[in-house]
Amino acid sequence: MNRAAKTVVLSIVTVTSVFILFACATTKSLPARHPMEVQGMPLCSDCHTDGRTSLDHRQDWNSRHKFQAAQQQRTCELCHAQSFCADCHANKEELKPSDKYKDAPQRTMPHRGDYLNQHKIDGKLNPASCFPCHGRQNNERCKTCHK
Amino acid sequence: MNLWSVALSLFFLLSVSFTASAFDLSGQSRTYLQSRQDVDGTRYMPLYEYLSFRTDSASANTVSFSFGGWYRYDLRDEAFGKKSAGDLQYAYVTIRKEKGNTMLNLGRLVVNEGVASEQIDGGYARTDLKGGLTIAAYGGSPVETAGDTRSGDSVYGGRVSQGVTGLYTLGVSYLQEKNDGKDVRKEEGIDLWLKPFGKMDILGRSTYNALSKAWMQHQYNVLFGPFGNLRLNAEASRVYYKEYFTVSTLSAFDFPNIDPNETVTTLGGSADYAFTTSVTAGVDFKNYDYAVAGTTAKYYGARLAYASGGGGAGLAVHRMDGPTDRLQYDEQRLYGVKKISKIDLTLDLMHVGYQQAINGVNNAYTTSGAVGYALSSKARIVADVEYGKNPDFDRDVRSMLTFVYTFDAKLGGTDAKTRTAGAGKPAVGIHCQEGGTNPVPCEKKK
Repeated sequence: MNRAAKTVVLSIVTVTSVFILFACATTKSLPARHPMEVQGMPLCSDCHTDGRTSLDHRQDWNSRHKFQAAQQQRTCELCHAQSFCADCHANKEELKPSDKYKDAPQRTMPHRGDYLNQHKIDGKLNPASCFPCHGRQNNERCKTCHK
Repeated sequence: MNLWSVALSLFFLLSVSFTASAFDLSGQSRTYLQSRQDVDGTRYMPLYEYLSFRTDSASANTVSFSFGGWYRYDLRDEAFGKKSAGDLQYAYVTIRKEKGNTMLNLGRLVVNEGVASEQIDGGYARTDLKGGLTIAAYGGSPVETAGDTRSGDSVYGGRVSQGVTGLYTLGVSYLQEKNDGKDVRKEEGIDLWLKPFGKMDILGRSTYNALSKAWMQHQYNVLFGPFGNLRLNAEASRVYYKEYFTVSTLSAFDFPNIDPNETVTTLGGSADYAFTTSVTAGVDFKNYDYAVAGTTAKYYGARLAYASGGGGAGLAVHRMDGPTDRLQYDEQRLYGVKKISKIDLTLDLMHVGYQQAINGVNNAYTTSGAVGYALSSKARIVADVEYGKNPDFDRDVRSMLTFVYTFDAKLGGTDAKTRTAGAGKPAVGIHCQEGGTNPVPCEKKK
């Protein structure tokens, strides 16, 4: 059997398997929205005892939310409209997230205070932390200096 | 701005199709009027309007349309070189099935699936399969800062995961991006969530550059606890610059602005203790280790926070101890929020003390104050002012007026009624965002 034939066979087997597994799946879909309103930084463990306890929004949530979002965006969408994420994660933005929420100092938001000077320090410290948001997008303002 | 037209057309088409049956509309309008001055003395007064809304078919709740975007017009000069600007952040139709978490998104959307954290104009689909398996796929044109035309640009990929509820989820993902028809990114990744014991929770991912055939980065986070009121968090990451900074639209990330041979390893952790339900204290530490430069930098400090229904307060003290003058500084922050009936007052003070002066300045200060007033259960207004003194500005004063209006209506169908302001139940996700501009107190858990 040549390589092309192997690829075709493998593709057919994969697609067929997926369809069988899909047809046999019995899970009930998550609701479009969380059935109960939650307030502020919710502790999912107040009601849930399974893996959802991992979604507790405590002090360390800011460093953990990127992993959860990459694995279960659908769960995030139960409570958060896309606009919530877009406050910080945007393709194009002119207002700093912290400027939009001066009345919410308890929120962990990037670039609080004097970031014009601080970004030179953070950029040297770990440019990889800037890259996810400003590497390929949301960098039109950066280009004013970084031509 | 053609995409705005497409998004609005999509919305009106959906509205027509929804008219046969009722649908819920919920959203938020945020208007900002900012006043600020540039280093050359030019004063700007940009007026921003951020609009986001979502419609759901009220009966089946299986079709929805989500929209978010902003527009800015400067009332005085040309902010950022343009009198006006805007962005369509997202506009997509979602079709959901009642079983298997099967869904399809079409339009401008954000995909978060393993290695992918992309904004695209295209489609995204996912479903559960038998045996704890899930599968997701996406494809379209990437939405990135334009370096050239979008002709020949594409991005596609997917993720397959398998898990046991409450124990683990293991995912493998793939992303391929083309620019002008040529491969510029091929990334493969594994991601993990594991809860081997009740008091241990592991999250992480590793990303592989399939074009250069080498690892890009590893990122892992482990949570221990709670042990009584104590939670411990440890994190580790390693980034390989040569593989990580491969495709960028900004020169700051180009080589040799960044040493391609460098590898940075970070190890850190935090411990948080809740004295009461309102008072928490914590310490945190992070060490940066540079393999090629042979140097390290340490960032460490402590935090204290108080939060209650009537307001809150926080104090944080940190020290950066790095190999260069610029990486030697202390920072402190103190904030307080007080709510009095419909009014809330906020004060936020920040100070950074540099060991070596930058532009002749050793201390950077930022002070901001805000006053918020709830005009109604749906509307809120905030006025804030910020004063800064730092190595770039002798005196930087900027102010902003914010108006937030949340709307919520049932439209279409034969028995549709438009809800009057204040009469509707807040929509989840629009209102329940922690933060002061939340105009409506969300319903408490029972």
